[in-house]
Amino acid sequence: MSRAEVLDRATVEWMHQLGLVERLYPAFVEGVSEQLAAVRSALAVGEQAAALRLVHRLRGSAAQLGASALARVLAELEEALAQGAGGHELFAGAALCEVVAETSAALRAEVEAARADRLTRG
Amino acid sequence: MAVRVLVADDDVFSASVLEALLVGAGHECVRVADGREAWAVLQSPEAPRIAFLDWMMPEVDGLELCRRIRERPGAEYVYVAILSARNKQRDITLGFQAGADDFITKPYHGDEVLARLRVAERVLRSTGPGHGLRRAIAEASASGGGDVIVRCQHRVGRIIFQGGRIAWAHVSDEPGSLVAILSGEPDISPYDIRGVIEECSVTGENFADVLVAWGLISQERLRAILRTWIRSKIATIAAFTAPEVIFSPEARAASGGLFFELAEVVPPELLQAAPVAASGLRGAPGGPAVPKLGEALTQRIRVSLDRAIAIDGARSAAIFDLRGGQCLDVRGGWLDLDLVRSKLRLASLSDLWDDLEDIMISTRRHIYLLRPYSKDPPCSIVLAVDRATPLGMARRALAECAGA
Repeated sequence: MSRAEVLDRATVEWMHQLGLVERLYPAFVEGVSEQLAAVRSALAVGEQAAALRLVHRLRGSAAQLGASALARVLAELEEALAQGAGGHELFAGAALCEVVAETSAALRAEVEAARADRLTRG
Repeated sequence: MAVRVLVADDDVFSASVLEALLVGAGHECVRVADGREAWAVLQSPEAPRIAFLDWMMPEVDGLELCRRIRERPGAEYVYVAILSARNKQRDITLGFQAGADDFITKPYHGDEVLARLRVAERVLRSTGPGHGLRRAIAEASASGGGDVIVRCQHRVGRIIFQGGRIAWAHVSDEPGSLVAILSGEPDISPYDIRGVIEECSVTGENFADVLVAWGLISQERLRAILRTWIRSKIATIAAFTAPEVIFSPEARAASGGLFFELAEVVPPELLQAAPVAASGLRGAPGGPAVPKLGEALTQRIRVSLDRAIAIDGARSAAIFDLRGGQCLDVRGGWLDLDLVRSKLRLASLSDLWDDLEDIMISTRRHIYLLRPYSKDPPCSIVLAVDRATPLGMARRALAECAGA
């Protein structure tokens, strides 16, 4: 997947305009794996509702920051959990890991671009 | 205008984006991360009147919080928008059923959120406590005199009107003595003021005349001090939370002796004036939708009003549609819409309307002339002039404008 497919360009540009890329993207990238681990733990002990809340919040964050591909995958996971499915298939497959990795790389690149732009402007 | 907005969302990223958007647009954002904190903020005396509540958040979710807000008896109205990544029709319906005024889906779009915030401001302006105060001020200024009384729990504010102008304003738990008002004047001692008050009580004179006559202060300086004082009191009264507002039409002699035009001391948002339109057609605030008019009539209205407002002594001129009472266009500033509408409603019901030359309404400050303007649609032209304006001349000039 290219960076353009991973991110929603219009939303990312808006984040640049608001000056939030350097502030929010690193924290999001660092927190994604931790959040998904928490979802796995909740599912492992049968706390479906807690897992659903975590996925819902993570999906909202991803969409708001322009991580559209990740938001789509999380929306599918949320839907599956809401329907009562365990969500194990989505976690078991490589798709989620791949999207997380690509999203993280794309967001880091945006942070670098924002930093370079800030330094250029002085 | 900057507003305070409560943003309650446990999603730190979405909340940060919303906060940056609001602050960047000049607003103030009060941010909390769960429903319980949000409820606590909304109970505080200076609670924001606009709340953006995430649906799914810890402790108390957005819908439950919205229900609680709506169940508070006598509380000031809070405009609630539910924030959610849930965007199905069923979700949105549930939001409105819980009492929400709006439903904003994530991810946010900057322009859309700010446009929705403007809607919130508009709704609060038209339904909020300022609405009651605005009406009472309009009523008081059109009367011979009386008190606008505003109560908020133990606090009572009073704005005293006389002859369409403001003579005094007072807040019950704040100082209001002449000593307090003139405390910043180094040349006037409390001893001087006691003497002035004694003189007033013996002679019946007002304190302004005595202060000036005794050479303690110039009339201009006293007027400036009182204007600032009254303006600050009215601003305090306007900020009362969930007040009860009444107008008590009981004229009485004010002891101050100085009077202020409304525009000098009342915040503009509390003046119930007609919209000032340089050109084009506008609806009056709160009035029904403006009917569509032909280009020829639209142009004729513009010409007529441009001529009417140029009449000597004219304060405002407007044209009303008699069917729904809409103000089609207006020139000038102040216009007592309620007064004009009530008279036009009566006049249009009369069999004599078609034969009328004009109707005159005399208030303490203005004379209104109402005259038939067109039959299809049935419209009337209204001219407000100062009381000193020669009426014969104004009536002739208005007749010419109506025929323009």
